[in-house]
Amino acid sequence: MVTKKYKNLKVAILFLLPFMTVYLLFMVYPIFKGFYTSLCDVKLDFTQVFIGVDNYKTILNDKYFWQSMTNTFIYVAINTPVLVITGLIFAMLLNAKLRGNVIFRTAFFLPYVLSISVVAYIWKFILQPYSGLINTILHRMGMPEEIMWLQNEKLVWGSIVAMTVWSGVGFNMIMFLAGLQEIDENLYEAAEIDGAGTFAKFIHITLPGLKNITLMITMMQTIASMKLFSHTFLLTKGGPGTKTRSIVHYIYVKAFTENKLGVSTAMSVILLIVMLSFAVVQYRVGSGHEDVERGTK
Amino acid sequence: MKREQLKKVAVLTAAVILSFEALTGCGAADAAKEPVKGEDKAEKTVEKEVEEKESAEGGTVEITFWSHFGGDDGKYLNNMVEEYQSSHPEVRIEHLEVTNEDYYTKFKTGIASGEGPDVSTGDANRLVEFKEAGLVEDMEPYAEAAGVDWESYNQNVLNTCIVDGAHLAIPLSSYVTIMFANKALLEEADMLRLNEAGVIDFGNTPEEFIAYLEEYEEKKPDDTYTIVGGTTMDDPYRFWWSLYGQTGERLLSEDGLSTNINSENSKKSLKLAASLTEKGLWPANIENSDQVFLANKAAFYVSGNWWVGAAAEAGMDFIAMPVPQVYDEPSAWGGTHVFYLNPRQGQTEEQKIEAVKFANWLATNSAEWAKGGHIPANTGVIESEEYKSLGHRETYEMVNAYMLDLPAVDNVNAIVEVFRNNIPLAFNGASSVENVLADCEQEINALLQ
Repeated sequence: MVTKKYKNLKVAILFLLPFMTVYLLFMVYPIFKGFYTSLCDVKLDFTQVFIGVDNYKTILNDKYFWQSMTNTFIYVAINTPVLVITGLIFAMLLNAKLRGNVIFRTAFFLPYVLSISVVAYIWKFILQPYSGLINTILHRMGMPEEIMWLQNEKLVWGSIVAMTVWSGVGFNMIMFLAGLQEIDENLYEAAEIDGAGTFAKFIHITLPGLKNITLMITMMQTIASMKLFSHTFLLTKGGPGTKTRSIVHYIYVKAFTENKLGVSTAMSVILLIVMLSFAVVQYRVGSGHEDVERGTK
Repeated sequence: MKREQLKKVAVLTAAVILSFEALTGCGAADAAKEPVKGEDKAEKTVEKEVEEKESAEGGTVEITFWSHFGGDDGKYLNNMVEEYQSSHPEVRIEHLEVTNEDYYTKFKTGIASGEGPDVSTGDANRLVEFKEAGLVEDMEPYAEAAGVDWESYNQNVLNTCIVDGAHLAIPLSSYVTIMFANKALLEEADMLRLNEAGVIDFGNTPEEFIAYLEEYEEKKPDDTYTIVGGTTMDDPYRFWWSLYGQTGERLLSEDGLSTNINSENSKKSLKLAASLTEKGLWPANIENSDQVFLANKAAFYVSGNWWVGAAAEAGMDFIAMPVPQVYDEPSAWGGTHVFYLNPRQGQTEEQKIEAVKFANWLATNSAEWAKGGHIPANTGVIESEEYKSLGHRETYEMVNAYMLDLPAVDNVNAIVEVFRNNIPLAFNGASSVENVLADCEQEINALLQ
C-alpha cells in the first residue's frame, strides 16, 4: 500500500516537474530576485551595489510615490464598485429574459474582447474637445462650452472610469449571469407564495446566492484596478500633469525614464505587499460572514 | 510488468528532456544577459563563430540596424537603406524599425543584454546617459577606415555628438520647433507682413508679438483659430523652451548641480507662452492641430520642421519659419538625430567599421531624408542641388546655427519628463507659472543630486 502510494507520488512528481521547473524559474525566482534587487542600486548595465533599505527611504520621501498611490486608490475606490454593480445590473437584465437578450449580451460583452489600445483610441475620439463625439453632440444640443473631459482634474477620473466600465463590464456580467442561473427557481417561487416583493427577493435570495461570486469578482476587480497602467497611459499619459499617474505607471517611469531600477523594484515590492494585504482582508471579510444556505439545481 | 516499466522510463525520459529544455533556455538567457561594455567581448557561441566564418568566407558582412522613425520619415530612411544595400552587396543590413514610444526601452534593455544592434538611430542629448551605461562606443577608432570626414559636418551640430573628446555619434539631421503660417488666411486678413528673411514680421518684443496676434484675432474669419498646436506633453515645453533660450539664460548652473529654472527669465518667457492660451489666441487641448491647420482653419501652427514634408505633400501654401525672436538672442528648441555605434555580443571589428561606414553614408546622402523637412547635418547635402530643390527650407534652416537642445546630462530624459508633466499645467491654466516653475526647480534639483 505504502509502496503503491510512493510509486504514484513519484509519477505525479515527474509529470509536475516540467511545469514546476518553468514556474519556479520564471514566477517564483524573480520574486525573490526582485526582493534582493530592491535592496540594491542598479545601473543601466544591470550592475548591482547593495545599499540596504536606502531605496525604501527614498520612496517614502518621494511625494510622487504617495501621489501615484493615492491616484491608484482613488481609481480602485471608484472603479471597483461601479464595475461590480454595473455587471450585476446587466446580468439581472439579461437573466430577466427580455426580448433582444442575445443582442444585448453580445453588445455588452463585445468591448471586453477589444485590445486596450483600440479601446483607448475610441475613447480618445469620444472625449476629445472641439471635435469629439460627446462635445459635438452637446454643441448640437445648444451647449457652447468646450468640456475638457480628459484635461479637467474634476472630470478626468470619471472619464477614465467610463472607459474601463465600458470595456470591462462584459466579463463581470457573464460571471454574475452564471451565478444567477445557479440559484434555485424554487426559492423565488416559495418567496412569492409567502408574499415577498421583487426587492425582498433580491435582498434575501439573489444577493445571498451571489455572495461567493460577488466576493470573487470584487477581489479580482480590486487587484486588476490596483494594476492600473495601460488605461491611463494610453488615454491621459498620467495627466493632466501627474494627476492620473498610477503607481504602476510611476514604477515604469522610474525604471525606464529615470533609469532607477533599484527604486522601481522597491516600489514593486511595496505594491505587492499592499495588494496582498487587500486580498487577505477581502477574503477574511468575505468568508467571515455565515454562509447562507442556498439551494442549487 | 515489462510494459509498465517501459512506460515509466518513457515518462521519466520525457520529463527530464522537458526540464532540460527549460534549464538550458534559461542558461542561454542568463548568458545573454551578461552586459557587454566598450571593448569587452563576451565569448562567442559556436553557432555565431560559424556564421561569422561563413560571412567572412562569402565576403558578406552582416550588420543589425535599429531605427525609431515611423510614417514618412520611416519611408525615407527605408529608401536610403535599400539604396545602400543595392550599392553595397558585400553588406547585409538587418533593419528593425521600433515604434517611437517603445524605442528607448527596447534599446536599453536589448543592448544591456547583449542582443542589441550594431548601429542605431537616436538623439544626441542621450549620449552622456548612454556613455555612462556603456551602450554606445567611440567611433573615432573606426572613422578613418570607414571614410568619415568630420569636417564635412556642421560643427555646431557635430559638437552635440562629442562627449569628453569622444565622437560618440554621427549626426544625421537637426529637428527644431518652428511655426507654420497659412499664407491664404493671413492674406485675406491683410496680415501677411513679411520681413527681409521672407517670414512673418511679428516685431521684436513680446508686446509686439502679442499685438500682431491680437490684431489677427480681430480680423480672422469665424470658426478659425489664430494659433493651434499641442498643449499637452511635448509641444508646450518646446515652445516655452524656444522663448526661454532667447533670454540667454541656460537651464543649469555653471557646475551643473542645480537649475536656474525658477528665475525671472523663466517666469517671463513662460508667462508669455501661457498668455497665448489665456487670451484665447491658442485654444487649449485641440487634439488634431495638424488636421485643423491643413483644413485652413488656423493661421499658425506650432510644430517642428519634421512636418514640412507633410504640409508640402498636402499642397498647402505656407511659410515655415522660426519661433519669432522676442528677447535678446535667437534661439529655438531643437535636437539632433544621430547614429550610435553600439556594442553587441559577438561583434567583430569588421562589423564595427561597416556600421560606421553605413551610418556615415546615410548622413552624407541624406537629401532623401530631408524630404521630411529635416535639416541635414552634413554641409555637402545642404549645398546639393537635390536639397535646394526641395523648397521651403530657406526660411527656417538657419535655426541649425542657434538651436538649443537640453543639457547633455545622464538623466536628461527625466528632466524632459518633468517639463512634460508641469509646463502644460501653466499653458492650460491649471496651475500658476510660479507654482509650475517652483515644482520644476524642486524636481530637477532632486534629479541633479
